[in-house]
Amino acid sequence: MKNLQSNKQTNLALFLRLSKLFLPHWKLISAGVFLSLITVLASVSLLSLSSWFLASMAVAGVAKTTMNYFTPSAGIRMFALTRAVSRYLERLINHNATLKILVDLRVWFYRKIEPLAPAVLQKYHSADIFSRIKADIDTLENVYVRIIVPTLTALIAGGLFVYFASLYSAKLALIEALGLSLGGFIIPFILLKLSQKSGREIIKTSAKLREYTLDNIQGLGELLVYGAIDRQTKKIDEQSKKLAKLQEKMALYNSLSQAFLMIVIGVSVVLSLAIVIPLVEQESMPAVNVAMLAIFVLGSFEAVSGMSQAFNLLPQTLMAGRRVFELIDAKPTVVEPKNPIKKIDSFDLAFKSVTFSYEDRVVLQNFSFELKEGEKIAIVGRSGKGKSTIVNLIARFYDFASGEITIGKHSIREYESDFLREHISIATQENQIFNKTIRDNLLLAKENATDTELKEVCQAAQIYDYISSLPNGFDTWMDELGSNFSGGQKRRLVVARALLKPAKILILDEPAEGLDKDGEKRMLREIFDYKKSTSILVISHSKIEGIRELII
Amino acid sequence: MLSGFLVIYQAWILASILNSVIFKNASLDEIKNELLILIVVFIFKAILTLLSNTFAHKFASNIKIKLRDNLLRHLQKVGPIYPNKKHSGSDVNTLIDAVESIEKYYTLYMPSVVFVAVIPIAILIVAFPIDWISSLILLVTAPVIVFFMILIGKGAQKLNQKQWRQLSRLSSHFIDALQGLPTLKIFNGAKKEALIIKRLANEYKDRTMSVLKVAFLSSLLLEFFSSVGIAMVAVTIGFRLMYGQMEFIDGMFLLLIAPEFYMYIRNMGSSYHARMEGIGAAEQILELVEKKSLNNFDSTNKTKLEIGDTLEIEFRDVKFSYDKNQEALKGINLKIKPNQMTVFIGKSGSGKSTIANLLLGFITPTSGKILINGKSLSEFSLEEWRQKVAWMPQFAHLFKGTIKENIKLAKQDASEEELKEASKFANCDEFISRLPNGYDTLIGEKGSGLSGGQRQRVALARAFLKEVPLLVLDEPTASLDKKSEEFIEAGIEKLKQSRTIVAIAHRLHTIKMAEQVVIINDGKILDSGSHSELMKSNEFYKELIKRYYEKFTI
Ligand SMILES: Nc1ncnc2c1ncn2[C@@H]1O[C@H](COP(=O)(O)OP(=O)(O)OP(=O)(O)O)[C@@H](O)[C@H]1O
Ligand SMILES: [Mg+2]
Repeated sequence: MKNLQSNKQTNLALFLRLSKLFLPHWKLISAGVFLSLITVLASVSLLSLSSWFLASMAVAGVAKTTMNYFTPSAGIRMFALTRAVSRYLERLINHNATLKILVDLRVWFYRKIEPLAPAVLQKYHSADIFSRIKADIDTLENVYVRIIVPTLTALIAGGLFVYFASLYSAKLALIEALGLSLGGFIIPFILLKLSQKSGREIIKTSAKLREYTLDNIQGLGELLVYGAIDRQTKKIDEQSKKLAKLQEKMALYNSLSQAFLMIVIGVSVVLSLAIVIPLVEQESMPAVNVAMLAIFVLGSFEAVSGMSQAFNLLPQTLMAGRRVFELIDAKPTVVEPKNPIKKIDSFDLAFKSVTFSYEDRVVLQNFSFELKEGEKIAIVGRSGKGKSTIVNLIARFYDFASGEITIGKHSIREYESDFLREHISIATQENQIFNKTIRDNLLLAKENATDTELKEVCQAAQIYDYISSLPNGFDTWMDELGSNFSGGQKRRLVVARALLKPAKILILDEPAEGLDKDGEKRMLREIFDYKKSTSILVISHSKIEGIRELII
Repeated sequence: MLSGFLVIYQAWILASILNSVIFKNASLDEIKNELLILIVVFIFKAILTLLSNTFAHKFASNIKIKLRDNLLRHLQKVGPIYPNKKHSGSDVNTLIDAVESIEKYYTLYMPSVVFVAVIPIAILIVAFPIDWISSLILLVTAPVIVFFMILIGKGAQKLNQKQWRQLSRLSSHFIDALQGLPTLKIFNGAKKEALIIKRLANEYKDRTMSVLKVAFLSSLLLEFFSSVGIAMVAVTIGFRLMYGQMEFIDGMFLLLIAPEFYMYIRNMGSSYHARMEGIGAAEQILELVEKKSLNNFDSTNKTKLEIGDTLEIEFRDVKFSYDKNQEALKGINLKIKPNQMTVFIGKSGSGKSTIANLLLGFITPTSGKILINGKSLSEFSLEEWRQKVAWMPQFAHLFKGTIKENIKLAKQDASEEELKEASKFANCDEFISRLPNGYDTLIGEKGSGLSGGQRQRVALARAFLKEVPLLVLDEPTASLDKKSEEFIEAGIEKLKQSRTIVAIAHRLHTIKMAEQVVIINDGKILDSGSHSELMKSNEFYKELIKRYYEKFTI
């Protein structure tokens, strides 16, 4: 179930793997970093220049001289504008880029997990998979917007600032370098170590919360009647509380990191003053520079302002990535052939001493039967004997262990499973109905089916009268559990859907459930009539008249 | 309040230090104290930020926990049957994500509003006596900023609501598709689904982006105006400094304080976005709260429900409609006798399941009454009534977990013997015991990992485990073979001695077991009586039975 390989991955390897997802978009990322860099530089320049300007003007005022005030005041305006515009552009570009990337990631993830259904996916709760495709992938946005871009910006801008400081004094540069790395990297890193567990738990807890909530909604009837609702509520509330506490904790770490940063800023400013002032005293630096440098040091910390968040988000981002890769790395049970056969010569279906087990449960042993093209047979057997398993094997949801299943002259292993399924239609036992109109539920089987076709299949499945009695007919909305349909009606809708698909082999798993004997007879007769040239396999608990029967 | 003071104080100290150094040629020693104070101010600021953040998050946490719990309880109160039912994915989205986004409202927007109400005003009060020109610049630009913000916010609200609706659609679609993936594959729809997901995800992206664009645009404007404001302050001060109309210390102070002034307004502006998001989410939440239930049980009902050995149920002219256009039950009059089995038969859609839903308290009659030992059901507390009922629905919900957990849902403290006994009655002990992990076998969501008939028997065992006066079974043997059916019927026969059983059935064997058979047609009772009575008196029934009977005379 758990893919060990991806669990063993170190955080660094994981982060690199995540970054790789964004690598194809390096151009956008560079643009994003560039703009965010411009923003920081403009902002710091604006503040430093203004204070230098003020100090100089004041000095000029005291000395009753004039100075060139055009250049600095123009500079102030330019930096102000640049800062506003570049911040706007930076946000626009970065968010637009990530959102685009997220769409791609979602589709990529879906494509990767689709082959895992149902054999591998059934081990996960659908709400858990949903959490991965929705929330976890959303979290991956952090990698780009809140981790990579701020970090690169901090490193480059920080470097530039240290260099700038070194133009005035080496000691000043040292203070600047120490302050920036302490406030921007070292303290957040220490806090990261402390917060790691909570960050990871957040992701897991919110997935759990979704799982329990979905259970609560989909199993509400049972939970209510069995007085289990309070237990479920407690379970949900527990996760909800846990999640809130974890978030509080993470917020606390983030605030702590910001608070420390603030202290580091204060100390750095004071220390740099302590370094610069003696320089002024020794007259190796004009006094006006003090104002500029003090404000510069104060402002330069904007370069690392995103770092506390970046470190704060790292654990949960990695956890989300881990969960996404866990499914990406899972192996499907059915291996697609390397050189698939693209044509089916005949639709004779045969099981030749097939053996199959679900993990440790043996279900079929040396099982054989034949269904010639156009033939109709019934497989009859008690509950749990393996009837539906036969369907699962033909549909390539599972792979058989030994023996052979052939269609035409070839093993079904030689066809691509999607290609194979194009020629097979199945009414499964599970009455899976989608949250769409009746029409859209049916059209799933044949996109361009005409109204006449819909009518025909529904008539054959003995459901047309009911549908046409509904006020909205085929446009009636099916709710999730199909609760506006009785069990038998749903069954027949599922059968109608299977009939609609133009396939050469039709499998009906207990089509007549909820019908009386008469109804069953009529339904099967009409289906056999309607699908004369199609091979049909009917699965049933009891004998079906008029066709060959195979007892399992 | 305190932090406002600190902000002002910090600017003042810094200005005064710079002033001393530049104009008084002060040495390091002379300003040592001021430097130390500056550090202390920073430390205080840090502590205050920490405290206010922690407090805001704590506050938001409590609200989220409460809100989620209330919403959940509301969902539970409404029950599984209500009009205009939406996909559960949409409810999950509301309960988790919409509630989550309320957090930002409390941690970002609310504090920023409080700060805005205090700090900029404090700054103005301090700045005015020092220099009225700069203060005027601040005073004039601030409302312009607020005005633009509100203007933009108006548009953002609609966009946000659209974004949430799109998200809710996306969530429903994902869950629906994930749960139906096998069916999609059978119809070669699984690959096409990727395109649908792409489309929906793109739509969601576009909605999000249009919300963000507005947010970014508003912060561009904020940024622009505050930059212009700062530049104006700097330039006007600069000239007056040059002409000696102002002290450097005042000028520097104003220059340091101006960005702070705008920062608080700007923060409110950018967190205004959080407010919009919160409002969009609130719409989803309201939609959930406004769900109308089809049952009107009063939770304050205190009438004690005393059921001894006899449980008599009477339907008195019961009518029910799910929506206005269609009446599902058109006047049912019926007595269900204690410790007997009553079976409802009829075409699908005739109203049998509605009768079961009424008995389970998911819905209450639109008119008419259901009497329990002579008292109207709606007078009792629903919880108490449900303690007397066990139920096996047509599609029982099995939870991801062990088989044992699933059966024990009905009775948490059931002993191993009870568990085994109920399972034997439901004819599932045999196959469960043969499994490598027996009762501890893990099954998936909706019972995956079991065959169709096995799922049904597990659900039946669950219904049998709860020892209650009333047992409601919806087609108990629908997907079972004849042998299993016979076993289960023997189980039901035994249970009948101590329970009133109401069943919906299609199978002759089940029907024959019943003392009372009720034929439902189109929301009305066509006839009722024992099997043998009906065989004699009702031609329609006789015809019906003849057809059923054939099915099992192999
Ligand atoms: N996905 C699965 N994983 C593990 N075991 C399974 C799975 N599906 C079915 N089984 C087991 O395999 C056996 C055969 O199941 P199958 O669904 O084929 O029975 P069936 O003949 O269709 O029964 P029914 O008439 O009740 O539908 C059963 O014992 C069942 O518990
Ligand atoms: Mg089956």
